[in-house]
Amino acid sequence: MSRETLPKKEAVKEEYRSFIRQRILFVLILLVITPLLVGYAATLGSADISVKAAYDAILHKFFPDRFNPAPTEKLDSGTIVTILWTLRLPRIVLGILAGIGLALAGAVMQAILKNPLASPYTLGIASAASFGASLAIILGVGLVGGEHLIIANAFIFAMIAALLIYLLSIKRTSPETMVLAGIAIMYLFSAMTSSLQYMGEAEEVQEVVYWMFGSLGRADWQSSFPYGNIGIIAMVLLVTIPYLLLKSWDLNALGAGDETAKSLGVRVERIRITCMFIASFITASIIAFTGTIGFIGLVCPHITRMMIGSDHRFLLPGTCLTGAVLLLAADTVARTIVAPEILPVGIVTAFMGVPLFVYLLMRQRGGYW
Amino acid sequence: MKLKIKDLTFSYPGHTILDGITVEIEPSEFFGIIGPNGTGKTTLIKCIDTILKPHGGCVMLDGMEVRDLDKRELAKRIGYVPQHAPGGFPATVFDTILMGRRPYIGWRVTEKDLERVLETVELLGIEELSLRPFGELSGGERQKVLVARALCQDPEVLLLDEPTKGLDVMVKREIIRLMKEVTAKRSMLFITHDLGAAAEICDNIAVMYAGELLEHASVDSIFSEPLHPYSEGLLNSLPERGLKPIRGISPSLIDTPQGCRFHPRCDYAMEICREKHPEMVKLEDGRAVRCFLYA
Repeated sequence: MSRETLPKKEAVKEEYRSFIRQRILFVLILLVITPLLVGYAATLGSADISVKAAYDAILHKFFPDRFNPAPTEKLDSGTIVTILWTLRLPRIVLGILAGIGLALAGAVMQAILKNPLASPYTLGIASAASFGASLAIILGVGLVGGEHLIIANAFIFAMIAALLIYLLSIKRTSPETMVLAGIAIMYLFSAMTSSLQYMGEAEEVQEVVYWMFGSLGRADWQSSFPYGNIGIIAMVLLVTIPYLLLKSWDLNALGAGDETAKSLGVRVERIRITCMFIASFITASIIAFTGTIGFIGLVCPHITRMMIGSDHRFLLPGTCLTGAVLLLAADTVARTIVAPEILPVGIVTAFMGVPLFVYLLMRQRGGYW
Repeated sequence: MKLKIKDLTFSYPGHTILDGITVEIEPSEFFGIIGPNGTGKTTLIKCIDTILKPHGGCVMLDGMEVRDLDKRELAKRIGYVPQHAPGGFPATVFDTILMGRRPYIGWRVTEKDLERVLETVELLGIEELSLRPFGELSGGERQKVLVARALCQDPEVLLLDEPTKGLDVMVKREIIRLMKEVTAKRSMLFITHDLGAAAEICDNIAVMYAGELLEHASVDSIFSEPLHPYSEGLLNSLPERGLKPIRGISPSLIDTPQGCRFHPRCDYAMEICREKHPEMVKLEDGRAVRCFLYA
């Protein structure tokens, strides 16, 4: 190495390091925003609870001796803790988990299908879940479920959609085949849902439509296994997130084209099928409980990619946190904007996310994708 | 590392793309395969790197079949520079080159990986490009980045698919100069329809036509005394040799001619050429040719 070139090389190294630091900083900022937003969201509701009291009540569960919310005129500290832990936190935590899962599934789908329009719903997963739910609501039939018929139906049909795509693309797992197969399945299930709605009574149709809006209102955590829907979703994410993070490099390589990925040692077909199943599984596990919350999965990966680039080592955690923040913020607005009425969160996510998304898109130099 | 390709065949339903390709590439040898478009050159490279699965024959790397090697292990030994880089995620040049370290990286990028990328960036003189989006680069710049990515794999064999295609003369010369510099100590298989580029880079050349090899010789001997009529025609079509084109067009691989595949275009065609398919004949001077003129 000649002496003249040394500074140039060091400069490139330093530039790259600073680029990496920016990416890490973005993730860290979101990591700070999330608990702040949790604290703020926890203060909102019919009972008046201050930010400090909200944090004290949250921490009281872990350190009962050190943190105790100060009683107010109307509420004693025990009531504040109860309100927080039984009414407000489940909804907040479900919002965070659903945001993480849906955004992550979107980022993975966009990576494996190499399509900017891909989202957890592209492959017909949501349509299938909606059909499953409609079947339970209108006809009261399902494969398993008993009292949890709607949830079980939505989950099972979402996974049936994933299986159908797998079967349709088993011979040629090209992204195009998978997207087209997914769109076909989406239309099929939409048509079947419409047929059911056509046959259903007005109240049943209303319930289906309400389910399809998506809501965090069904959040619950129980004290015993599997700890309610929050426990189930948390367990799904705990298992799948580390796996997907480990596959970051494979997802990066896929972005350079299937042939390049193969020449870099990636088992392209295997990774595509596995990740498709995992993303579908995450989506199905969430929307079975929340209904179809759209938009997060499509847009959060784009927002994050426009901020920190497409290196999946940073993009995946960044997208998870963007999803958590956006869904939690949207739900907080949904709960408060026309209080005591609660708007469906799916509507608010779009109203809040679109301006941010369009702003970032317009700011991009040249072609973004 | 020695790369040995033996009787390699590949076909799509109804037509054969590669028909019994046999080539041996010695360690540190620069080997060129020249031939017209649509003759199966890219398919050959993809079969060697297991991107496509050949239907017959084998590819051996130092006596080991490549299909038996672990994918990651293979990526450490063979680097592939594709003809095109498809658009996809927006990635910087640095990230694109860093991808070449994927066979070595678990999750975390080590100091060694970074150093390797920086060395390659420096070697190719693309420091200025390193944080630019890959999609915004010119054709020549992209080609350099793709070569850099493959070099970062530290492969013993480098497969290059028409690296000078679509580049202007100056950029082409620059790429050729870099190829010679940066690929030292590695074996290289270089496919092209650019005779000039092949002549400058390669030690030995094979001429490919309609899915099979027609002639195999050192660059000097093929350029001074081409044996196969097709090789002769190719050389005569060079500007410095009078720009005389070969009559007719290359046959489609869906409908290859009976007998010698080149006979409809050959000025020396004999009766036997129409009836019988010639075998590759090894000559005394080590050259090999598939033509009844030498049978």
